[in-house]
Amino acid sequence: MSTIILAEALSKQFDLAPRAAYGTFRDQLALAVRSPRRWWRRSDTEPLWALRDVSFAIRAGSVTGLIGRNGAGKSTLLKILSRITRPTTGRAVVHGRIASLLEVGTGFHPELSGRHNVFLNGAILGMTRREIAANFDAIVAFADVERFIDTPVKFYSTGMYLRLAFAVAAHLEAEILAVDEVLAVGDLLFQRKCMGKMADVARSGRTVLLVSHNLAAIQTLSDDVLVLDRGRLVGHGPPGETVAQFLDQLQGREGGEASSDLRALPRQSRAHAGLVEGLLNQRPLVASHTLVSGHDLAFELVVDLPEPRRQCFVGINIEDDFGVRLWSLHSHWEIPRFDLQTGAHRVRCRVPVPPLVSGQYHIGLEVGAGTERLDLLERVATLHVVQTGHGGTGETPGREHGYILAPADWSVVSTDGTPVSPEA
Amino acid sequence: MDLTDRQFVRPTIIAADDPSLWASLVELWTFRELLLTLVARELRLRYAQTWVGVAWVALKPLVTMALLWAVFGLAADLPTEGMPRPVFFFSGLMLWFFFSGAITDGKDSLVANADLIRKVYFPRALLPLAIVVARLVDLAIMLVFLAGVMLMSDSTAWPSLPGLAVTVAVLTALSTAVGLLTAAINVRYRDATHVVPVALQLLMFASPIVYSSTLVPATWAWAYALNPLVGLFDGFRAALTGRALDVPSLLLAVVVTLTLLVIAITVFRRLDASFADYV
Repeated sequence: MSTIILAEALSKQFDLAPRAAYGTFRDQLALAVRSPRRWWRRSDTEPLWALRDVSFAIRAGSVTGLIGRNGAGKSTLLKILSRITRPTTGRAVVHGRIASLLEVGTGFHPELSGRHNVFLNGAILGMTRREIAANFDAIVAFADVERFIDTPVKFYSTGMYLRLAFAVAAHLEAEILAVDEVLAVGDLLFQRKCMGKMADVARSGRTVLLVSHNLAAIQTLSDDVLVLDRGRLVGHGPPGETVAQFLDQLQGREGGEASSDLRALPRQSRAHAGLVEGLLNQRPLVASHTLVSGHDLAFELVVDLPEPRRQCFVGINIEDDFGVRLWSLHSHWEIPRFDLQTGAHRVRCRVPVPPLVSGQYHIGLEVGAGTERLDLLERVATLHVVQTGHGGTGETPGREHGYILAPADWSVVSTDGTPVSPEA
Repeated sequence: MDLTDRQFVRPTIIAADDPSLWASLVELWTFRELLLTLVARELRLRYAQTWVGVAWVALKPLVTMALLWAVFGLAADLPTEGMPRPVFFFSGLMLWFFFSGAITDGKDSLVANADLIRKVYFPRALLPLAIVVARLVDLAIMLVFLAGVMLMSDSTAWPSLPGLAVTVAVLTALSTAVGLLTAAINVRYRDATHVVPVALQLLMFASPIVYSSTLVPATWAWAYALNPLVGLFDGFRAALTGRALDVPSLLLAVVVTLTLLVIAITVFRRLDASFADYV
């Protein structure tokens, strides 16, 4: 297949503080008076390379996933390819029109009716009036807002607004569609519609560039995955292994800066009182860990009490960003309480993690004796749970559906026993 | 989809350097439909929700004229170049509101659409251009009212249409130049938005809007004529009453306008590459 996008050593440099300082005549004037030389040179801000020597080729008709941590340069790359901003050096050759969907609803104006916004938004995204008119009914039907199409969009619910915005974008007839995080939009039903539309787009022979944190969606939809890290292209290949490699990199990086020493950590009430050392999945505990949903957590803790205690137990808990406790593990629920002498003791705990919804969680630890709490460490480690497909549909529900993805077994058959074909 | 139908059959080259001026102009032309859509948005937002609607456009110069009439018109016998007083005032105010309106909205056109600039590509010049075109529509409406004012005040002379067309065309070019320039500068230096109104205020008094340029002492006439609005406003009024245009002052206005246009285009193209990073 032919190459539709060819990037050659693309780099993009930003001045770190172009906006904050000297963004006004007044400041410029003040600087020019105070220190004319600096004003003339103007290069005292530290440059930041948002993208560095990125080269790749994208085949026509492929779906390419773009992954990387926040600030890795994904959006900058999309912005360069869709000509929103220019590269500092390097070049790219693009065969065809790129419709960028960096965020849906671009150019929507609250005072204008849904109808006018469709035309305005379509024109901004690069459609001709004829194309919009030809697709108008399909857009309105897709967004499911027929009754309100002549109402100003400021009266729309958030859901309606987003649906209409995505609908316009989804009906763009560009050769290349660049999508950034658009999958996060709307309710589950609409997300499914979007995924379907995306697959249609891909099947229709158009090229799609997909930026998402949703690795499951990336794995399901893409033919090819690019991995960016701090502005550099660090991986390029088929989705399965590239995503896996990306996860490894995440873990590796985090492991390096981590520590297993628990003694120096701040305690709520008193100084160190028992918890000495911790490992999670054989990595230093005090770190941020990336975990694929449904895998095991293996804790290894070293406890060294200042004095012998009877009836001891160890607890581990997991909470979300808001401090909502998801679950706790207490050793005495599973094994009898134990007596501890002074000296180090190793406590091991392995637990299959219930399949958690993607997101960030925090681990806390405690040691107790009888009813007394000896040591408590809150939020000692961060857990990034990543879903890589639940049940194989590629759909990954968000937090609004709860925390736990229960692996359920579904079947649908007609009552006379004939199987139901999958959704068209 | 018919690929041959598209403007992008040839590959797009994305690189650091500015595209050629010719390429930019060609691109502007391919985006003409978006320009019209943006103009429609501008007009729709401005007039859709006010019941006065279109009449609102003419109300501003009419009210200002009534005010001036009340304050100056009765007492002073200021010269009006042989025109009926209302015609003199309305024509000056109308042109001024066109020009100052185009600049006032134009300077904010990029910043106000930061959302678009950060997320979608289109020639950025469309935004200030759309403002000028929308203001031209206003001007057309005001011209109709001007005709009414002329009829009511028994203006006997027949206007010279080519003269009117030329002065309006140059004034439009001037508005475009200043609009492009202030819009681009405003992205980098946000206090430009506060400087411009002050400059406009000064310019208003330095232009023959509510007074005739014949009042300016001869020793200062050359400096006064450097303001391109002088030649244009005088020219418009001369054309309105069928008098001969003052060619030297009109030519001076054209030269100043062209110079500003070159500066504006150069600055705009220079800053264009980084609008999305700063806006």
